[in-house]
This record gives sequence, structure tokens and C-alpha cells, in this order.
Amino acid sequence: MSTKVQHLKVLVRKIQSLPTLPKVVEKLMLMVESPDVSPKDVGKLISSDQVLGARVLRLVNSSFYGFPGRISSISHSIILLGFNVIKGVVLSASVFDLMERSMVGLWEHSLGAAIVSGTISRTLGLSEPEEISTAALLHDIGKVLVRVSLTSDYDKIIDQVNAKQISFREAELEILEVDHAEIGQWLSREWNLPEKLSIPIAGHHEPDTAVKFKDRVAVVHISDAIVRACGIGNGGDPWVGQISKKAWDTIGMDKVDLPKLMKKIIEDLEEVEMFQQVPAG
Amino acid sequence: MQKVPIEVVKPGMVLAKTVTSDAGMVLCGEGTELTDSIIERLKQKNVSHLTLKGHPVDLGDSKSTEQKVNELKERFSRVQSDPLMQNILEAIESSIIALDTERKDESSEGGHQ
Repeated sequence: MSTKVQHLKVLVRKIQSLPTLPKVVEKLMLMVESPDVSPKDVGKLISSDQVLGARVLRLVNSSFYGFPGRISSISHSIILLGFNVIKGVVLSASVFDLMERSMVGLWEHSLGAAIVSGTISRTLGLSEPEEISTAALLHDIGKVLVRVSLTSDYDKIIDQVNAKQISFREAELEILEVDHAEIGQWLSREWNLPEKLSIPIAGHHEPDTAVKFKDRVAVVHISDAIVRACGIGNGGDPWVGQISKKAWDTIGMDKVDLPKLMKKIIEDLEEVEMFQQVPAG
Repeated sequence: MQKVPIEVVKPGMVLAKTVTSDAGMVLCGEGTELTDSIIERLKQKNVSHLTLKGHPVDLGDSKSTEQKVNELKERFSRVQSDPLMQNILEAIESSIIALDTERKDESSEGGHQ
């Protein structure tokens, strides 16, 4: 564990420049910490960046938040979804904007995981499905950092995946000695994300080690595998990883009608395609 | 549900998704049966794609069911021996087959739901 921490420290030094987030996002992160901030103020701030505002509106209107096509203003979305969700949505809208076209597959993978998480959470009647979907949307944020800030390592990782036919995470552990989940956890701290989001990001590959929010971690872990299973997006390698049986049973997946759930998920995932085309207006 | 370019949309097809402008304004609601004038109006608003109910248009770009199932099995190649993963694979396989069969039926009936 201590060597892991050391490696992370070395990496962090290597990273130096965090991907620069738009000024608006920085302001927002500070703003939502304040106890007396109003949805109206936050809405105004986000809308002041037109492109970001439009992206946020598209995301909050996706089916995984349960109000498809019905949220017309950002302040309205905050009232419906809460600050945690909006914070996560704004972050993902701006972070994924940093990615180059070659990472569109990861964006689709992330959107897909958010959709699957929403469907699973609602099927199982878990509380705060919107926050679980938001955690899923951000679960691979560490990979974005590797891509953007550790470019040569990223290329080596991809080479390893192809040469040795191993998973992206196995290649990360070989080359960086830490994985994107851990990098994501560190990023979450840098960006002051609430634990409800940062713990699933940190634990999505090892759900059994989570000490808190086990349900949320389990849903994100399972959704990551299922979105890969359905062939949506690109998580860095083409394979479905092993799902923890413990995580599966923890949230009661062993009791659901699996064929019925999978059919619903495959239909819901068609929404991912929708995001490839920016609507005109 | 099928997403298609607006050029191939015909009157009588039904929207599966609300069409909104970039600013979030609703242009046309989910469940609307499209008419020539609605399609024309959406084109004027520069809408490029619509999501329709069912699978009313054959774009000629879809994979065969067999090909989809083969690719699915390929993705599971590293977790083949695990009973839980095998259950998931079978559930997805049966869903793919069921959805493709439904869609074939729909398009042979010549249109939308």
C-alpha cells in the first residue's frame, strides 16, 4: 500500500498541470461549498458559459435522470437533481470536452455506464439513483487524466494492451503501478467531490473493499462490466471483466429477472447514439 | 427505437424522443405522429436526426443477429468459466435475439408501432 502511495505521489508530481477546467467550473466548485448558495445563483453561473450550459442541459435531460426532455433551465435542474448531481454533470461535461476525438469511445462508455446504473438502481429501488448515475458517468475520470496529462504513458499502456492482450487496467498497473481508479480518487479529492461520488470512482474495480456506500460502488462496478458486455463505447480494451459475486448479491441482483433487465438495458443504451449528434437550435 | 437522419423520415412515423433545440427548447414532443408540415418545420430548425418508435427504416447498416452474438461471446472470452458471467452472457444473448426478432416483425408489417 505504501509503495502505491509513493507511486501516486511520483505521478502527481509528473502530472503537475491538471487539465485546466473552465473558470466557470472552478467558481462553481467553490460556490456549491457555501451553505447559503441558491440554485438560481448556480444556474446563472453555469448559463454564463453558453456551450457548457447547453451540454449540462443535454445531460440532465438524458433518460438516466428520469426527466427526459423536460428540464428547460439549469436552475430547474438543480432543484430536481441536487447540487451533487449538477457538480458531477458540470465536471463531466467539461472534462470530457478535454478529450480528443480518439476518446469518444470512453465518453460513450461513461454515458452507457450512467444509463445502466440508472436502470439498475431504479429496478432495485435504490435511493438517489441520480447520484449513482453521476458516479458512473465519472467512474473512469482517471483514464482521462492519464490520456491528457501522461500522454507517453498512455501510449505505452495502449501498446501493452495490444501486444499482451491484457486489460487496460492490467497494463496501467504494469506501467504506472497505480490504476485509473486510484488516480480518479485523487482527482476527486482535488476537485472536492462528495464521497458519494468519489468512493464509487475509487472502488469500481474492487467493490468488496469499499467501507462506505457499498451499494453505489456495486452498481457502478456492475454497470461498467455490463456496458462493455453490450458492446457500447470503448473502455480501453474490448473485454468484459469479472463481476464480483459479492457485489452482485449485495444489491440483490441475484433476485432480479435478468433476461428482462438486460433487454431493458439494451434498449436504454440506444440513447448513447443520441449524443453523437449535436442537435441544432 | 431507431435514430435516423431526418431526410429518410416519412409522415406517419412516431417520435420516440422529444426533439429539443440546443438551448433546450422543446420543438416536438415524444409520441408525436409526424406529418409533412412537422418534418418540414424541424428541417427548418436544422434538426438533423430524429429518434423514432420501433425500427421503421432499413438503413442497411445493421449487423446480423448471428454476428452480434458472435461478437458478444468474443467480449466474454476472458470470463467464460464463471457461472455468474455465463448467466449474464445468456441473458444478453436472449435479449439480442428477442429484440432483433421483434424488429424484423415490425419492419415486415411495413412501419411504425
